[in-house]
Amino acid sequence: MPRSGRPEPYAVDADLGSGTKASKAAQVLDVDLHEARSEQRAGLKDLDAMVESMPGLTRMQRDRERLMPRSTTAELGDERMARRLPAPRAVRKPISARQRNARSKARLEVQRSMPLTQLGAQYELVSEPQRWSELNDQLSAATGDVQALPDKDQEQIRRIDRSIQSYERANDRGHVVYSNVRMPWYINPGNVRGFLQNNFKAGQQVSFDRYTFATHQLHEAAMLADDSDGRTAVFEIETRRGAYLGASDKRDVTHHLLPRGLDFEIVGVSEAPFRYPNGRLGTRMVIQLRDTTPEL
Amino acid sequence: MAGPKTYSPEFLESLRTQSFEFHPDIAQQTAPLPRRADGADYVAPGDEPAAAESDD
Repeated sequence: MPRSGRPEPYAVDADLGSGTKASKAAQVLDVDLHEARSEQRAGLKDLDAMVESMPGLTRMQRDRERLMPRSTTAELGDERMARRLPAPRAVRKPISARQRNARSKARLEVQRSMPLTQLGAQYELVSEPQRWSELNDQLSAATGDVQALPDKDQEQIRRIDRSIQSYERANDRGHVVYSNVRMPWYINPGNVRGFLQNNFKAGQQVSFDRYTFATHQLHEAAMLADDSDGRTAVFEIETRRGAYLGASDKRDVTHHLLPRGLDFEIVGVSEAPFRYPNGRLGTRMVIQLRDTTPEL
Repeated sequence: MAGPKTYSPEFLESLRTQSFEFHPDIAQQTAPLPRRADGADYVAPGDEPAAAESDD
């Protein structure tokens, strides 16, 4: 007798579980709860739109009132500096030394002029695992409403937001970045491919209330999360947002911090091949996303 | 909850010229990556050696 499916309708939230910097933790949740969270998120974005249309406020005042950070990305320097999602079966390769050097140089220039309070707030987020969890878990619980957090945490989050915006302001490049996501433990590894294809359908929307740790190279993301049980997939994200936190070509480190409060459209799910710097090949299940966060 | 840390201005100034990155605890949160017998690096569990150059 065939096994009956899960009786209740369910949804998957890829950003809901308490993950680590190495990987987001997807969670299955009740459809009604998922919809309620989506509506709450949309309501928060409406409030941000109202703040933007309120007369008599300076940009700084608006930023303080907003619940989610605005995009501050500079114009694309040249169409060649845009980065597009690769074809599903294309081999993902390490990025060039020139790319790494340019991104690292821009990063250091931004860091040199950034207020120390912002630099410290960003440093703590990326270097203290417990702080990473505390801030992100609170953001997720509040579906991104920063004003629901204690004052000190709000202050740190706003400083982190501004530190990312400083980089965005100076950045005229596009990004394709990679971030791991673990499927729930009760998904049989043999079913992960089907689970991904059924629950991450092209055209659907995914929202990240948390900050997202990413890398510019698929092999680097693959090294961050042990996938020996086959439950880790990787988001491949086309975006203009976020700050490069990697090194120059001296080291194989291309970390990237994406801001909170982002929306994406799912482009597709596929098994993607990638190449390590030493020439070996690997594969990961990849969920391609395109940034659709409204410019408010 | 701990709340934000306070760093000395000297320490923060030193960050201006560093490419500080995500703490190496990332590696400790997951199982250690095995090394290949031939000493090659950068191989995640389950990834096979390249059979041949193919579609690039």
